[in-house]
Amino acid sequence: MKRFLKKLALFVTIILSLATAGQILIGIRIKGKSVRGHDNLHIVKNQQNDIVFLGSSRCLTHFDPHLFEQKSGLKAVNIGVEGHSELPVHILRLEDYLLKNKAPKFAILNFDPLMYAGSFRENTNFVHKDDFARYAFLCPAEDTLFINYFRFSFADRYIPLYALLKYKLFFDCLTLRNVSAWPKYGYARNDTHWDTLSNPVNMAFVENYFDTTSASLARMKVQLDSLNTLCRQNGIKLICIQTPMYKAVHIKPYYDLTGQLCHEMNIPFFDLNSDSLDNNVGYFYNIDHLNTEGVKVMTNNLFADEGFLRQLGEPLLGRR
Amino acid sequence: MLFNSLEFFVFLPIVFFLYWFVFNKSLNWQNLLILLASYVFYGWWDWRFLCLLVFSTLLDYSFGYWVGTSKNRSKLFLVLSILNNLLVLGIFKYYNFFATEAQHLLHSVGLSMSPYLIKVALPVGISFYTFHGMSYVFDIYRGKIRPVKSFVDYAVFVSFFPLLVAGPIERASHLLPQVQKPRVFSYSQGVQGLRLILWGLVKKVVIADSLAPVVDEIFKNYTTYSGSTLVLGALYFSIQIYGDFSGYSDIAIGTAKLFGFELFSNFRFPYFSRDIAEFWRRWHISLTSWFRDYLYIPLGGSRANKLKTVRNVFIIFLVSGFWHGASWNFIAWGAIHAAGFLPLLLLKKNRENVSDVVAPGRPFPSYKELTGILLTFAFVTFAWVFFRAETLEKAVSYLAHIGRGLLTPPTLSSFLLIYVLPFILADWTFRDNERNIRFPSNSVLRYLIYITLTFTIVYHMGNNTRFIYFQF
Repeated sequence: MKRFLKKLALFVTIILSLATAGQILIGIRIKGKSVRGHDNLHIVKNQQNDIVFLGSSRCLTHFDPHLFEQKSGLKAVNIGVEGHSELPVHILRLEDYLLKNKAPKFAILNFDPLMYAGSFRENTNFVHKDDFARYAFLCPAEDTLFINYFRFSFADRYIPLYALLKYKLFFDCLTLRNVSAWPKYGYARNDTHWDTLSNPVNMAFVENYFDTTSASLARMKVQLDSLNTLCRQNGIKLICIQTPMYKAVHIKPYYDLTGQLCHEMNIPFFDLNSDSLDNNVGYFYNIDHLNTEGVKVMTNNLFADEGFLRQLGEPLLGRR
Repeated sequence: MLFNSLEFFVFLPIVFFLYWFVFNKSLNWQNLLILLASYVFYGWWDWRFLCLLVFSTLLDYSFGYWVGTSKNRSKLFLVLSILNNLLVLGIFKYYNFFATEAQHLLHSVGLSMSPYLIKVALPVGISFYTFHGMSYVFDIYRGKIRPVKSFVDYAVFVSFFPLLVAGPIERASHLLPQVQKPRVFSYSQGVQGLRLILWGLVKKVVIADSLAPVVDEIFKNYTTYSGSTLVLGALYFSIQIYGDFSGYSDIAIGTAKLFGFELFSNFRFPYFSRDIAEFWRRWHISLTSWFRDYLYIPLGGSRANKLKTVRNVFIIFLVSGFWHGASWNFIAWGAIHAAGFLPLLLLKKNRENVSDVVAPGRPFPSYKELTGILLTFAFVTFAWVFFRAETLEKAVSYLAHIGRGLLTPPTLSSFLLIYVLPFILADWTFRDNERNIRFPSNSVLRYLIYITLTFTIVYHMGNNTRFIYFQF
């Protein structure tokens, strides 16, 4: 038995030593870098931005912070979380931001019918959990919000290298080959044009729109109110913007309901859907995401709206 | 609790430590510990099903006692025990099948009924522990063993956690004496156990779980894929189910070794079989031999006339198919194997390939052996389509779609062959002894392999899926 246990202990020690060494080396390799673009919790730190953009992939793709800066003179950062249309994740993202940065003046939420109430306690959306696995091991206190939200297990948090291997982030950390456009451009810029032959319009997309029952809308209002309260407590003005969606799936009653919800809650709301944008396939790279050209047109349209400029401040309106 | 979960790797060392260092002075305490550990292991899924397990164990223990002690009514108690086990299986596993089939039958003659359907999940391992119980009572009836006095000993035989949920299906005459005898830790047994656990995890986590999503996708949307992709899907499933189930068995046998137990072998490199008869001597051995001993031979086996032999073969294969699931596709799977096995039996060629090792002492099989291996594998893979498809209709439709675009290159994940080919090669290398996986004698090289395999397993752990045989 002694011999058996000795060898077993040796094996376990070797494995743990290698794993620890690997974890340390990977930590050095990815320090200050984003591996896939979503893992930017540690990059957006000690910044003083005037605007933060919140929302799902449609936020991440549609708001070019540099373009905003050029047009408004306000420093902006896009901290959208791709694959997450549930509001709690964006509340968490803003909380995380506020822990590490000075409060911005404005929070712009991409708010559209794809949004839903979600739940802090019972998160069921684990899309891109793997991208956040880099924070799991001995997670610093400042990143725990997301680690808890994604329910990383005890083993993910305390066994070196385990989360990186399990969530298949290890080789990406090593090679940094799957970095998205976010670190380079500050948003998920996409220059391609929509290939409608290989990726045609699929009306099933509409099934992703929010549930319009009163109970469901009430839950959404509660979450939206939480976000608004968080903003108010930190002296931030929350603005909701509905970015363009390709015409075939732009079902008006849904898109009107978003504005109505914001109106009821006294949150400024801007709908950027317009025939010139929504009807032009050349501005999209897929059914619900604009390409670079589309983003430019959309941003120009937004800054042509006096109401929006008024929200950002009178001086900006005067500059125009 | 899954063998491929972290909970198990916390649970196992704790039980191991208590077993060898705290309760090692008394056999009774060791057995009690195993029983409690087994109930924790089982109850981890759903503690409510523990009641069924304990109830079933109590009944078979009692029936075993009555069969062994009653002079006149032992047959009656045997029948009652079988009925009880079949009733438990029937209610949880087969009732809904028969109820809906009866409904369809009545509907076809213009009558209608809406049967009550049981909406309870199939208790994990029910087909395995009921078979344990039946083998115990059978063996007492046949005079092979005497009823055990200690309920704990019997309960350990039925519930021993490595084999509780997916076998190997043990015989009382093999496992009970080990339960009743003090176990001594042996270094070589311990090392073999750990190696089997490691290799079993590779089979399950690395091979089977990597293939699972691709197989699921191909079988789900088979109408949209080319024939060559469908062939690849069937091939992948053959490897997946082998990796999954034999991986489970390896972990079970390896875990039992750590506690000083030797379980039955369940797989002996079945995909190197040279004919279907040999395949059934190498695939799920514990179930095949169970049916042989408790069903086929009592029915007369192959010693009766030809007609009866044909009947017996069909019965055993159909029952085997039905054991896997209450669905026509499993029955068809059994029938296909019966059709493949019968000609060999009738021509008395079913025992042509009985050697334990294929191509012993040679690095490659002979041309004849290779032809036999490939033909058998093709036949088995064909039959697996019926096993994997959700319904009989879908299985037939899947096979019909293979003809479409058979010569076009597969459209999905042929890269997975990088998992399959080294796995087959490794299996070929280990084929001398399935219970003692051979690693290089050079300790540095050996440790390198252990470490590489461990990290490879962890890398694939994100795909964590249940074992296929848990549903049976």
